[in-house]
Amino acid sequence: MNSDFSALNDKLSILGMSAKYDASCSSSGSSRKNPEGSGNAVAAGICHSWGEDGRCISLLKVLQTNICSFDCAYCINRKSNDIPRAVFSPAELADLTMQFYKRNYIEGLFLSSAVLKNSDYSMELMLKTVSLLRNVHRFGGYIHLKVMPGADPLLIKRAGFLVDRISANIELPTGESLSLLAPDKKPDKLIGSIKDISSNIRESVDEYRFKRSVTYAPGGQSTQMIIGATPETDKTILNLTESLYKKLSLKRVYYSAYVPVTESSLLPALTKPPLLREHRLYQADWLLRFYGFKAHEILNDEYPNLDMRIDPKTAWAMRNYHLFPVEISTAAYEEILRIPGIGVQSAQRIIKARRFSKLTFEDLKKIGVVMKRAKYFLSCSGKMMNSNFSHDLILAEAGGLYSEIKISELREGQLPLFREQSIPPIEIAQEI
Amino acid sequence: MNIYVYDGNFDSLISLCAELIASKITPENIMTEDKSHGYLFDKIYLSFNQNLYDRLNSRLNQISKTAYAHICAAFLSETEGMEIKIYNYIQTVLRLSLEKNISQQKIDDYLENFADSSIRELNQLSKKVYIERHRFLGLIRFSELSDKTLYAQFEPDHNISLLLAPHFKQRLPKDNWIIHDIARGIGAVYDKEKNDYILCGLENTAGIIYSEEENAFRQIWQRYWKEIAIPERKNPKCQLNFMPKRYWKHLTETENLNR
Repeated sequence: MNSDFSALNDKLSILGMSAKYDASCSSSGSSRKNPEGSGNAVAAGICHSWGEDGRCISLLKVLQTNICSFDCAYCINRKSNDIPRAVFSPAELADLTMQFYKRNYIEGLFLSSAVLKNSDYSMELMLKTVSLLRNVHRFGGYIHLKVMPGADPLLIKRAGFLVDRISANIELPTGESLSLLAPDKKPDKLIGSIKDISSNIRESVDEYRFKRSVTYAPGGQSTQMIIGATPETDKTILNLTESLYKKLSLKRVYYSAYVPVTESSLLPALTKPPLLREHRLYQADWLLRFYGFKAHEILNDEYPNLDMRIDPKTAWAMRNYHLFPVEISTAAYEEILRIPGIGVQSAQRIIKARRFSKLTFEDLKKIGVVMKRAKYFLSCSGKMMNSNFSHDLILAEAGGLYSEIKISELREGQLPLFREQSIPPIEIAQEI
Repeated sequence: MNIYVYDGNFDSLISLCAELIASKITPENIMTEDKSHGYLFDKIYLSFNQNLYDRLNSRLNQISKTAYAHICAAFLSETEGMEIKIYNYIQTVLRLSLEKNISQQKIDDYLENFADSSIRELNQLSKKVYIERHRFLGLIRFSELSDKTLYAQFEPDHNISLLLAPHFKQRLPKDNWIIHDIARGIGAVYDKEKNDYILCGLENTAGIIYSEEENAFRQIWQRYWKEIAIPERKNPKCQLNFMPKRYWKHLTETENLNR
């Protein structure tokens, strides 16, 4: 490798390392067409590789620079941290993206940055990179841009017209935590950016009627928060998530299990990131988005935290056993969807199949229902799988599911019993 | 025992199914010549019948385009026993279309009735193919040759070149590219001047010359790939689940890691 490439290699190494704690890698939600140049976006998103941590690599996730004037306690790039620093010139980064893209290494670019000089300055640099890609390279692939904390709304507005997805980090679940750990970031400004993006998207969607295409961030807005660095309950986190989806129409909320990148008196002394908690939060998030659950159904003052031993849907069903068993031949889709062991696909198949014949337990199994769990919660033509089930017995047996989970599995965050509903740490984009 | 043998072409299989259905014969099995060596007797050969082929082909398309696509995908799976599953499925589709006063909506709904084994089994096959196709939209790795052509080798389980080519035509219209299924000795070759690709037989290519920059970008990508993983979250099981070892040979990032 000649020296130019060698320098580029080192630079990408530094700026990739500094970017890797960002959770999102999704390349979904946009179907950008590109008649003039290279690259397009596929609505379902495409994963290109998987790292040793099992997270999908879809986008070239990288920082414009990791030189930072902020000193956020949880962040690897805080100015007081002694790490190698670098800056990508916009041209350099745009070229590299094109080289990777045409080799099909990546689906596009996920560009974030540390705060060099100030938020607007970094944001301008990033915009230069993105605008080179779009206007000079005629690049039509996926771009996810991270908005700098408290950036000028006009820059945010410009950015959205160039990219597929845009995100502003909410960072921590409450303003108090943010003020404590990230004194340079102002809670109202972070939320302000999210609101600005949200209204920009809404305007663009309104214009859809005339233009037939959504031009401002067609892949929508996402955000992420760090889990386990601060004392919030899952209930606080889930309620916040729900309002981000409902009030500000976010596409995704990402949770990032806090990885101890530094020792600080402000931070908990963790040895391992709380991966299982992150996993349970993603499961609960799925229930909000695809299963018609409300946050208050999943968690409340009596149960402020997710049960680490069991997935949130089963936990809810066991607390609400009076609603079961659900009769497969007559129940509404929404009710069937709430049966543990039945996912969106199985529920839809049940609705289709039961129009043609009475479904048996055997049919349900073939359709894809996880009977091991579902059997406690459903009936076929008035019968339960084992007619000797009594309410107490069912609760006892379902409760027995708890004890099957070994402690070692808890540590690894892999629960074989609940695989069907388990959500991998990072969104998998699946077409089918 | 009646085993029907065909030449391995899709058209021949459709023609054969048409003939079996027309003459109300239920076959024990349908297979290609090379797979039927174990059977000495009871092998039946039917010659290609253009008329029957045309009729069944257009009939299936008319009943449901989706069903037809599923049949094609199942055929491309090249798995053992796919022919009889296709035959069973075609029978179900035809029977359905002959029901009195059946609406298109009801046909479409029934084609998703997984309690019917002929439908479930065919969908399982086509799903396998679609899943692998989707995987390779991401896992195809091009290398740049000295003449700037982008060249990718891969060895998919199913015969998916034809399903991948339209995607790359849309994505990389300004480059010449080749995706080469070296297991089957075929490939899709795209010509940017013509803005189109052809599917053709491809010999194993000895003496490929890469562009000057190719090696540098490979190394940069390999290092990035290695370092982007978070050590505290190490989870090789999850990685292998999404990216099985059998694919590693042709991935730029893992070419040196594959034993």
